[in-house]
Amino acid sequence: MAKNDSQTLFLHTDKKQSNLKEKNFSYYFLIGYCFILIVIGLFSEPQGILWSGMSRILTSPSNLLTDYIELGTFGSAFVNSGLLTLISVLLAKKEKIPINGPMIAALFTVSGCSFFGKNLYNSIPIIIGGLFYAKIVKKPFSQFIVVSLFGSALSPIISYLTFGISLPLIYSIPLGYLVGIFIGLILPPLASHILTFHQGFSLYNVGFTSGLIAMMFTGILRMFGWKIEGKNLVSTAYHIRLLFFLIFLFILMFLVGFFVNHRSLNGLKEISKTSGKLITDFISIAGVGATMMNMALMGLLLVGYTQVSKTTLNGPIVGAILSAVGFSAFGNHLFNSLPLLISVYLTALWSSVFEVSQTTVVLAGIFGTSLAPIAGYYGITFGLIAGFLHMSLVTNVSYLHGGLNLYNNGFSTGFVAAVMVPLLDNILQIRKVKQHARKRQG
Amino acid sequence: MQERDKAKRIIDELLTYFFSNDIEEIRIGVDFTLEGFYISIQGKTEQEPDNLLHLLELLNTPRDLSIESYYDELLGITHHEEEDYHLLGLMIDEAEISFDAPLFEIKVFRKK
Repeated sequence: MAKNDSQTLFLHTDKKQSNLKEKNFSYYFLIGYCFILIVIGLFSEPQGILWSGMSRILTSPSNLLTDYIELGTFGSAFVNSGLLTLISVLLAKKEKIPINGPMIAALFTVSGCSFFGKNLYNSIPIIIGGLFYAKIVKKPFSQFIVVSLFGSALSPIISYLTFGISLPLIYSIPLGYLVGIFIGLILPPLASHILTFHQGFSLYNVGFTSGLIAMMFTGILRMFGWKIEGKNLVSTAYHIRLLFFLIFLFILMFLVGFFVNHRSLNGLKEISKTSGKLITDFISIAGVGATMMNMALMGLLLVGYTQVSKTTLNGPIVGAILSAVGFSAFGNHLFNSLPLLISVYLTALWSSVFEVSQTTVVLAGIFGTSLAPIAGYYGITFGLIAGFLHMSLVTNVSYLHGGLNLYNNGFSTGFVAAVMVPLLDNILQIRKVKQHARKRQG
Repeated sequence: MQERDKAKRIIDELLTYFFSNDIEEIRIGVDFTLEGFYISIQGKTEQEPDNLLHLLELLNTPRDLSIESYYDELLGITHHEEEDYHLLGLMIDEAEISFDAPLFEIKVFRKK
């Protein structure tokens, strides 16, 4: 691969594809995770109650914040999340996609958001739209599956059109599906282009893209007299059960990661040194074991954050934690995420409008870690400023899409990153030029 | 993104690497063939860039079609960091780096 003497040097890449055993292991881990969710759901209540809860979930408009645990039941929300994630994993396996950071982030986001907006009915058309887009551009669907999975952020639009505007089902089902397929069709090119808006400093890029689409869609509907308003349906009775579930999941995840990593913590240091800017794939940098340990540690940090905030755990908060844990394979680690959590917490504490224990504030903290690359790249101070700006913006942008974009925080973090990054680059560039000039004078 | 645009972005990223290592008298060659395209970028420097092995490590990232068509827009924009060389790695099939003072050259190949 390399030849080197005092005068010459020659290096050649030696690309190694991940071996089949490693690839299958990642799939087994993900399938195992889905089964944990399904088993918890199936054994937590009688079947009759569970399926009636499932029916309420499938037929709800599902805009933010609709906690499926409150709307359906505890068990049906877990079964919904487990089934939807399992289907997504099997789809990725069928397309022979290697399990990498973005794919883990997408799958855990599907899993998390299935606690408050995604379900088997409203997620499918966006995937079909992605399939159509692949056919149109004559490329394999495997190239667009990550965006399609993230894109189910807009699934409430399908549910809203089907169950929220009082049209007979014979019209509303095809209407919802047609609009969903259209959204799935336009998402891949849009999401890719929008990366340049924030230059990879907001991890939830599809959240921002989906926010723009939902904002236009909501504007059109409001123009014709339809009222689209957010909801606030959250459960309060399952705090302890959800807390045990999360702690059990993250301890298990850490132990599995530790054993996969040959009973060592190797790799965690490499992960913590990264800025997290897109694209930072921890699986590629440190391997599956270290990535799982990082995901688990982030999960425990976020659970700790909810306890410090003295909030009551519910579907959206559990969903947010699972999503951020997914992104801990693709950008988030303790050191770049903590400044955002601290900043959102202190901002809410300081504000006369918010309370730190409010679900929206806790969600802003957890999802605010989308801006972790700012803290990782520009430093803790700017991470704190990013958190402050995010907390001030996030509740304002939700009106724009009426809760039809599940990644409302991703919409807000996109704006924050787009404003901060060019300014910071400019300031740092000026500082660098001045330092250089001072050195020359010296 | 079309292959020609991808070639432009890859050149941008490599050129930035050359600039940041004070490599001068830069020449760029691009060749589109039936199998894919080749890019060679050559310049002059008296000192071997000190992060070459790390660059090679990043370029060694296996080609990954499942994410390149989504994230390729990040290549060749304002920021040129480690993450971007990692992205460059997953978009190419082969790379060669050679240094024979003062000539420094990087060649990359990307299959269609």
